[in-house]
Amino acid sequence: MQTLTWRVVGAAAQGVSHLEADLPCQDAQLSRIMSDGTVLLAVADGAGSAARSQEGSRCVVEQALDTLATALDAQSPADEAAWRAVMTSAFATAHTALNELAATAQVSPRLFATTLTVAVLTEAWLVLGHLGDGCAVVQSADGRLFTAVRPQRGEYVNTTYFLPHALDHLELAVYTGPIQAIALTTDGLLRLALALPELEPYPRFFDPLFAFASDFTDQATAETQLVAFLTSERVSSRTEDDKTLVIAARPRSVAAPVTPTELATSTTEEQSHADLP
Amino acid sequence: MTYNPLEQVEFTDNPEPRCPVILLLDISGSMSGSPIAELNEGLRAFEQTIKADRLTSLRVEVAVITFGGSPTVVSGRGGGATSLPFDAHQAFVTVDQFIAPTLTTRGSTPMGEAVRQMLPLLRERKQIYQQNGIDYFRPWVFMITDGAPDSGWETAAEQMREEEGRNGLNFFAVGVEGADMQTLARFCKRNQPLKLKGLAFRDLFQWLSNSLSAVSQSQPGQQVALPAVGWAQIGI
Repeated sequence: MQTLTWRVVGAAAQGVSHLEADLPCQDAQLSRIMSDGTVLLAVADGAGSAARSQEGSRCVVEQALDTLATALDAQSPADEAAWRAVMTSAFATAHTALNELAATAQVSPRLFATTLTVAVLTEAWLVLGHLGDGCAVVQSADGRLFTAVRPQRGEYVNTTYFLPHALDHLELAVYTGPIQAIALTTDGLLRLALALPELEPYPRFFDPLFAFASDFTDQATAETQLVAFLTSERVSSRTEDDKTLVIAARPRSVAAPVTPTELATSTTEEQSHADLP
Repeated sequence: MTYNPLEQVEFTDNPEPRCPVILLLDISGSMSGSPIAELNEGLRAFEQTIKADRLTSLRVEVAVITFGGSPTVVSGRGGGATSLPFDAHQAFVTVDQFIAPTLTTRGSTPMGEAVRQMLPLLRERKQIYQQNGIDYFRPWVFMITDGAPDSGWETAAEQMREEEGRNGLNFFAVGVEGADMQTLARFCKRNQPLKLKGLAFRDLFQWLSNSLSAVSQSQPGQQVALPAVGWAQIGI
């Protein structure tokens, strides 16, 4: 059985407005590669004025990946329904963990409010769980870019959903087929990387980004370069928010399938967008 | 520093999200003299302050509607107080182009009519944003009056409350000395009307532009912390 390896790199950097307001970086990101080559990725964006949301974002990325790793170690999901169940449980445990944090601290869970976007990558599957205004962009084996989960938003630009209180807005997406690369990001980079109004991935953002992720050979150097990029003047002058990226890419020396493959997708939207506040 | 391949990454050029603001201003006869002079001063201070903050100046759009005699959309692009049609394509002006109009008084107080014409204008503006794929913040409608509305205001008050109830806008009403605060309260759902201290229009407009700065920068999950209201009388 051939296991294709992935290159994975991620970083979160404090935004200029957070620096000025004496707020910590409220974004968190985490990645894990399991022994069978399965890749787990997560990003989370703590709500702006929730006083302890940086703890919330760190808590949920850790909890979600722990839950997934444990479940996948025990059994590999055989079908879409099984994958949905596993991803749902990852969000459920993240939700519980936030409530426990709050109970221990004897404060309202809203102080830890955070978005969360999670991806699992195997040879055959890409499974995403999503709550909030982050997003995931995928490059399929034929080089095509698409937005795999979109930021959840109400009518107004400064509204979205958060754990723990909006768990019922969890969105799931399941894709099958060969994938070359995927990036998860929080909303700080959205306006730089995706073209409004359809939120189309901008090729001149993602092609070099995915090339970087495919080609790097030294993990520490790659992380340093990613952090330098996120904190660069070019980026900071365009967004004041915290900025986070976690990327998984197949090395380019591994031949990708020549034939473009249809990806089957299905999403569960727990509520129509008309219901968003 | 060795070459960083991420220097190849380029960025999209998306339009900034808009923060639409409507100023609904009473210019009826009773505002003559010091009140209208101070109001005009306040508008000039507003212009200066919104231009001074980077994000505010990129995101806020202003429409000025006066009522005193028939409700009028006043041009925010300078040229005295030229009137414009109630057309969402023309009524709103970006901060870089905004020049505070100099207002003069006339007539009675058709507040109801002004509100009845303002609401579709705002709805039309949102449609323009949506058609052009432009994000926007919840609009602010800021009304200043020193009297009581002409008769026939009740449906307008109800429409305003309903729109606020639908979360379609954020409404603030300010009464100047002599204003009928009880009637004004009938237009309000979320925020009770406040009474201006004397003629502290400058302070009022300073507060408004600081508030708009807070909104323009706000990110999801942020309770927008509005600055302290120093311009209002305590206990109406």
